[in-house]
Amino acid sequence: MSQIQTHELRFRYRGHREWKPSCVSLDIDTGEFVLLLGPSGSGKSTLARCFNGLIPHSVPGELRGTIKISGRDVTETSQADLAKQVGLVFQNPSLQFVTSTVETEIAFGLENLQVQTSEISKRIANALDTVGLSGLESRQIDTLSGGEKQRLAIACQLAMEPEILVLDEPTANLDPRGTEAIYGLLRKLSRDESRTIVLLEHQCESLIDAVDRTLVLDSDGDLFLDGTPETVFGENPRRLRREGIWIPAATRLALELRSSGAWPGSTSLPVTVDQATDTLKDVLTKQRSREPWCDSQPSDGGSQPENSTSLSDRSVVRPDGATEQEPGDGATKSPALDICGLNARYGTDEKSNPVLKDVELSVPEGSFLALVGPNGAGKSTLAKHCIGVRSLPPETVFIDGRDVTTLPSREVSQKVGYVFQNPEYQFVTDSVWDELAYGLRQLDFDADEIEHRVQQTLERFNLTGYADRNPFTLSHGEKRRLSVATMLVVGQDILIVDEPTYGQDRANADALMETLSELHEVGRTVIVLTHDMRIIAEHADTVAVLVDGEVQFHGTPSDLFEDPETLSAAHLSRPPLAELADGLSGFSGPATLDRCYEHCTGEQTKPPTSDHDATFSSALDYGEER
Amino acid sequence: MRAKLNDQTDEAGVLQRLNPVSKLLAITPAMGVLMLVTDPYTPLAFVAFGALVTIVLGRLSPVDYLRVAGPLVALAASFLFVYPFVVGSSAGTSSDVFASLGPLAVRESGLRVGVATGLRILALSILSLLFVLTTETESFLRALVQNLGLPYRIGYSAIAAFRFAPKMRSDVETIRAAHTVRGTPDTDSLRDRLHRMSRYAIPLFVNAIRRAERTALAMDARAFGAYDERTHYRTYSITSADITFVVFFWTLSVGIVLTLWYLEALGTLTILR
Repeated sequence: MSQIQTHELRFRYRGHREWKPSCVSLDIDTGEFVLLLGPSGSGKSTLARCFNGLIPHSVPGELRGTIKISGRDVTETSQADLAKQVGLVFQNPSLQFVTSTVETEIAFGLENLQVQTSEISKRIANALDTVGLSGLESRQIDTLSGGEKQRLAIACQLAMEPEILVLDEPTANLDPRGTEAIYGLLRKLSRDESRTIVLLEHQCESLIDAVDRTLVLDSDGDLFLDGTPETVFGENPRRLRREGIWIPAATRLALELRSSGAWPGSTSLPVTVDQATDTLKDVLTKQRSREPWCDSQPSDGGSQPENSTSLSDRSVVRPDGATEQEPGDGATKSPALDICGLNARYGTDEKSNPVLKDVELSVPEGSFLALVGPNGAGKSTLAKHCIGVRSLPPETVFIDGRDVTTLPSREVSQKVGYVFQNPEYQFVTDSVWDELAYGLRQLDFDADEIEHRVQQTLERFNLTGYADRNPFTLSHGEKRRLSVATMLVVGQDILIVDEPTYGQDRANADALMETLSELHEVGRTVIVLTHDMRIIAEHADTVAVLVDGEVQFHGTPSDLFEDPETLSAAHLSRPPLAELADGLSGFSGPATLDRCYEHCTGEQTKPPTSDHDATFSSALDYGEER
Repeated sequence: MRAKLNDQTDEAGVLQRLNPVSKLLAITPAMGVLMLVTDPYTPLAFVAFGALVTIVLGRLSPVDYLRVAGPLVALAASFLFVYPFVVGSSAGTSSDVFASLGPLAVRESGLRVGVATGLRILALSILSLLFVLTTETESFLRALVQNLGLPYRIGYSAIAAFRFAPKMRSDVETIRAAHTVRGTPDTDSLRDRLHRMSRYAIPLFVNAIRRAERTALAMDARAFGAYDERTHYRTYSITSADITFVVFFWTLSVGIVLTLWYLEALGTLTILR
């Protein structure tokens, strides 16, 4: 029976011109597990809000077409009835809670529906049991971890016993362990054939095998693909790539292999790692028998595709090391950033728990460090100490060998750039142009130089058309680009980026990582705070793991991936292809797409792919080997 | 620290377990009297009484209590220093000069008014502490909805809104850090400060509004306001413990006032003058 049925559904918010989603007709059956993908701004969330009647009942705007839930028109069904039928879980867990304890929070929705007290107790117990939070009934919500909060948010919806559960990017704010817990829960919930689940995500690597059906919206808000994951990903990779939409790692690998002829043309493209492993084993056996000495075409580093573009950028970014800075004593090169025995606690209260315990960390100039660890491990605190916005004892943090406490804050900001998670926090002027010029004016550049640099930066970050716009009116991806740009226009040697891929679609995240990689190539020191395993596997050259305020690991990514204990202590999971690599004989080291490719084709360096979208060239898909 | 004082576990005192409405009811008459009295003895008596009840029945550590009440004492004391100069000229022309420094004269009547006012403010704050230190905002709002007929749509919206306060504070901290990184000069002239505040305000309000919007949607999605009535999982009723406490508090309040009147320490009430 069809449970969600829309016909040419379109919506526009009051005061907006474009219709998003525009003209979506779909039909979702009872018990299906649907993955809804789409770039940022494609109208995914809007569509989800139509499912439970927030649109049109609570959100002002114009709705055209029809949408029926269990055969009843949403516009004619009350919000209360819809709330009973459709549960909606939002992206940010802490913005969907009203009360302060676990049980009163679950009770909130039930009280609204006038459920009797005895029944409420029963439902609270059941819901907590389902999501695995039993025993936490009277806990303060603020003391829960991000993953627990999001499971509580799901419990709140389950207690209302909806037939349809819609989740709008439920894992965007979570570390990998929290994400896995949510995915495990969804996998369990999807086994119940009477419950329909619609999951909106930018990617869901480890859950893809449980998905029955994938819907894809394009950037105009049209539904452009609808089918099983195998047909959607396997048959339309190019269109997906053009829209900047995530493709499972196994599919990407198989695609690359197919274009070089290594993947048998008769075998359909895999979606899950399991599907890929079997075929790849065959491929490898066949290949080994054909050419026993798979002579490795030496990867002499000359085959890098990006050089032409990045070279020109290099001169823009940096007037080059030789000309600027004081003629330093090049012989005794001190690390770009050196942290010696840093202790820190929240506030000034002596009794509060320490956030950082005796942290020792040395970041050599020109390295790409990923600072990882569970939510709340002290990553941000540590990073903020490096930019001198928190008071710290002398002789603990050194930038270029100089004690931060002795440097005026203005000088620190010339040496270290910091990109905050929320770009809006960093905007200090009313136009994009001024925003870029701001840092330069602080440094007393002359007007021509400012004009020149700002123009170049605008072009480099695709922001030329927005020069006069107010930064607050940009889209999220654009704001993020601008906040990075404001940091780069000054030309700091060290750039710290807090969660570069957080809350962004694939295309935006890739574009940002590409920028960071280019900076790294020209010799800047880049530090990213992240849980994203792809960044660690494919970009970082060093990883530091921070757990409970202590540095538990400091080394190369490949060493980290071979250390399951540290991985689990850091709430990290292995990169998506690691499982596949386990199944391949003779594979070792970090399981990146490129290395898997090389392994399967007998150590050939992966050729640059041609269907390269200029704006969103993806450093992940088309790699630069280091 | 507030969280510790508000602890509503079994180890917490009688006050924490009472219905917030009954606590409010208990202190109201005493506060009414305090607004009227002009002598220093009545407020002093209520300061002692209020503090004692809060510490004993609320099972608070006296040290923690003093840490909160300390600033209030300082506030009250400031009245003592300011009032003699303000009041002295008009009301106290006839009273004795207590001390003088050049053209400034501190008269006895001014001093008396200053002491009385300071103590009155202190007594009122101490009685409010009895309520504030032992009550969670959320429980109070729930009790108001259930016992005093506050419309639940208002009560629960207020509960949701109170969750935002700590977030705003951490926002300000982050924004300040973000601006420092941009190289905003941290000079301390008043103009710079005002300018900085105005720059903080934009992202702060943009975020606050966005948050409020999201939370409102999340509440709607859970059928908030669907019916005129809602059921209550955690109920607040007036129990015998509540009645006992209110009667006890009222009796002692009346006792204090009567004793002072009997001792002729109770001055005229302002409303009668």
